[in-house]
Amino acid sequence: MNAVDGSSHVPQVGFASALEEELPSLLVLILDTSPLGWGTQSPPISLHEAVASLLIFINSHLALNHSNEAAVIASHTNCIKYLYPVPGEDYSTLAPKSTATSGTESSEEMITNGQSNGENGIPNDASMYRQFRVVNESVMKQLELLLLGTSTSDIEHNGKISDTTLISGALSTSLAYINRLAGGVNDNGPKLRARILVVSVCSDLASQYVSIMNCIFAAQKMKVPIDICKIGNDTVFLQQAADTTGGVYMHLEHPRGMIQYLMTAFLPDRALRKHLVIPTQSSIDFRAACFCHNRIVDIGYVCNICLSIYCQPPADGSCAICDTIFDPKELADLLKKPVVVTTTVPKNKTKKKKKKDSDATPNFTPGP
Amino acid sequence: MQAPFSVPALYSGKKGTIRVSSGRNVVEWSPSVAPIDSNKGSGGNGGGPVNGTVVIRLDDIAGLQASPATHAKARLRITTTSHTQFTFEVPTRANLEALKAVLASNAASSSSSAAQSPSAPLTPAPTTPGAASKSDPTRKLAIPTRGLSDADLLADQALQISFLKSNGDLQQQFLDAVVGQQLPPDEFWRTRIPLLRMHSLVLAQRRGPYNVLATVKPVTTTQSEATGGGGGTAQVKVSLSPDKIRDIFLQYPVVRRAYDENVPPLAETTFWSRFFLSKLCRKLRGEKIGLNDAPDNVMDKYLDLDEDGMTAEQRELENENAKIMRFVDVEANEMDDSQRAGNRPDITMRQTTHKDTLSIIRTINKLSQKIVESVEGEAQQPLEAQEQLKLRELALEDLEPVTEVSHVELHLHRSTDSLYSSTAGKDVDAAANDANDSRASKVLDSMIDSLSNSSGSIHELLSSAVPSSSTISRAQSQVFHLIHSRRRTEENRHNGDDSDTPASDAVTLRDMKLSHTTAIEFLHHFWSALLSGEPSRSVSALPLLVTSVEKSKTRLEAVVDRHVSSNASQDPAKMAQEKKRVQGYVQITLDALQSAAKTYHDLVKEQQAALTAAQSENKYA
Repeated sequence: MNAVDGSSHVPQVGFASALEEELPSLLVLILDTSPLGWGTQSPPISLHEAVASLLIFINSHLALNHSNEAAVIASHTNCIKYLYPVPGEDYSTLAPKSTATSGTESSEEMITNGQSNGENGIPNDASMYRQFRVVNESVMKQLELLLLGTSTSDIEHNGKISDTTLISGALSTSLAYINRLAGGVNDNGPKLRARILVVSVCSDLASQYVSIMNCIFAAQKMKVPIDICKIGNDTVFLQQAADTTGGVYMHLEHPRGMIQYLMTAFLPDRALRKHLVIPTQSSIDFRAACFCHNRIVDIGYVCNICLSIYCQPPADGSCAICDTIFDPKELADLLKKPVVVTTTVPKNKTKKKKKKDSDATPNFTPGP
Repeated sequence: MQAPFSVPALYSGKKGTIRVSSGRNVVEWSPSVAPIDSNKGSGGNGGGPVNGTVVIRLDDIAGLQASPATHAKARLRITTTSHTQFTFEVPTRANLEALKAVLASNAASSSSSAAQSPSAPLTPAPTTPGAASKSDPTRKLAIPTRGLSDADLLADQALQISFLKSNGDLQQQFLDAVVGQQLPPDEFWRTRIPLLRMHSLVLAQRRGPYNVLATVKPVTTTQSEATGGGGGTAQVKVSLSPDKIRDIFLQYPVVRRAYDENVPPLAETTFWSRFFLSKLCRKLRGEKIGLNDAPDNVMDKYLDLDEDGMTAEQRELENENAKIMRFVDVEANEMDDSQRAGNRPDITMRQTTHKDTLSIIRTINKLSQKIVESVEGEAQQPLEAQEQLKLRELALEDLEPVTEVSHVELHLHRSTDSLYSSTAGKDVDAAANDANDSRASKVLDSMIDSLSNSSGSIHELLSSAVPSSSTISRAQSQVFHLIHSRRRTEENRHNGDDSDTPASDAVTLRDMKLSHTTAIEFLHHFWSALLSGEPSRSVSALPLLVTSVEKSKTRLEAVVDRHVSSNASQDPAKMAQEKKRVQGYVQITLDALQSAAKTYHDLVKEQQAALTAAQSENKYA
């Protein structure tokens, strides 16, 4: 992913206006391509249908404003990949005029000749807006390449199909991409409004807890909303991502109607959302994952030095992250087992117990 | 609200100092270290330790008696509630009066006596401390020696009662849980120890002294019928409370002196109205004395005295004896006099110019110093410490050598998977994954297939994304449902309504809130008892708490049922729907109660089983 060379396709934004509404809008779409996720999802919606909906969505986004930009990143099981724009690819050669300087162009870009671009092997559609076509073709082609290039060993992990996806990697890549296009933080402010849309099918992200949270906070600082379009089971951290950054979290109850969700809930960009009631869910799962076993915990233990989260007091009495040695007395307090009966068995089976002989209480072990 | 007050006094023929410390709520006499001059004075023969310090609690003072003015010696006899008498001899009549006033004002809440005492003939003035302590319960509680440890706080019922009185919500909860549901009070307070500690500290707080004269604002009305005798056509209206008069006397002894010496001839009101119009008052307030201020033959006599009622010579004499911080001692620092280097002296050091300004600065300075000193702890600071403080103030931070910031370094271990075992967390999914094992390549193939099939035409692909209209409308309704519910929340937030939707009628809502609060209360106690791991606590208290937890659940359910049945609609479907809606508000609480009870019963079963097993083993062994 580091090989992305932006110099060839970083667009020159024509005029940076102080008004946020007038800035061009950048949409970074992260598509979760975890095979297991789509495998289990196939009855409600196939990858193919979802991609089609997403392409329509991207096209609508591009159609909203002449200078709008889009990027698509695939978050795979073992890697991430730019589906559009592809590093090294020069999109200006596809057509007589460059998309990069679209701000100065007019609608004459409508390609009316029936010529086919033989180079990508996909038959060209004569009546398609060139910018749409560029995105659509690139995404389809790269996605296919990605899947064809995936061997079974890539998606297997310890003999099982890996059920995870590199969302954190995709998020950090997209944030870096946004940062580059927005021109960092300078006096003139960002040159465009950016947002991220994550289409997620994978439910287990616990192992990436820390990196995802870091991405969330970075996005919050960059004022980049992260929208989540969730298919399948809810994912804890993605809910937090949307909530923290002011994005939309939408769990699709009817995945087949994905296009409708995309168009109604995700199309308005940041500037517009100020004026709208955002259809995001109000109850958010704020739980965290423990660092020791990657379990999601309701109540956990926190290291008082480095704030690492544990689902149970560390067995060796020291923090596994920062090596802080905990007070053994405090630890013993935490590990105390609840005692509800005394040594003497009550004669009758009532729950009333009399306290007798408490000094000889054996250490009973309650269930897990 | 008084400053610590101290006068030299003889007790049992020994020299010493008597201090009235309102903060500690005691009168304390301590012998001075100087050798005892046994010839001097006829000591009292009161009880108490003769050698050491005498400490009398202000609350215990039952009576004060001063020797008559005609008597050669100025003595004060303090009678305590336990009928012990202490007789102190003070050097001057004025000191005696001041001491008595302070004691009286401390002991009595209605301190009219404080204002009266200077003018009143020196007759015995017993006060009623019983009434005082009753009217001011905080004073009793405010003794800092009262422990702040957990056990102390739990035992302090007076504190708990006063806390309940000050907090209506808590009182309601207390009534509900302890009085209504028989939760042991100790259990109730055990979870609120920090609050108790806070309350105890709050009670110990007192308002500090302040500049009284600045708060008294005479209102001058220009009416022809001047009765006050103040000045001409202007009538001055001053509202003075006994408290304020007392504070004025304390802060400005010169006013006390003027009052003492002039009030028998003058009427009290006349004195005060003349005082507030006089140059003296202006001076004390720190205002400039103008030429056209009306002269007052009585008040102007005291103009030359400073606030403590001393003349300049007296002041000088005192200054000589007083310890002066070397740091600000001009004479001691003569060698370092900046004027020799050609610098002009500071405005406060110039004798000739700005005499008025200077006196104002001095007045204000003195007053602030007095107030600061009167705050406990400040005055006790030794001279050396003060000097150190001054030096630190003067130090130039920039010139100090840069100190290395020493951060604690954290060495973090990062591991890609988990720290202990990479598979532990995925136990749950293992079964599901096994089933999928063989499907790995199948899944991949199907994905590729589905994509490559569509590669015929992008147009075809895109049109395949459009689902049936029924799917679209279902999706649409989900989005709109979210928008509606969010909009409702926003609106409610605007209206200051904290609930999601108007739950139901006010009665149900109140009942629900109450039952919920109580339930949470019991849950709190249940878990803290269960997890405390102390057999003594959990075994005895838990069964009771579990019963309460279970009862809370029944109660909460009853509230819901009552609501549903009272809003009786005949349609059972509607009723069920309503029940579901209302229950939704308390579902989390119900679940929590359920799981608490279940945890307990499971534990009991398990431990009993283990116990029986162990015992039968013992039997056969």
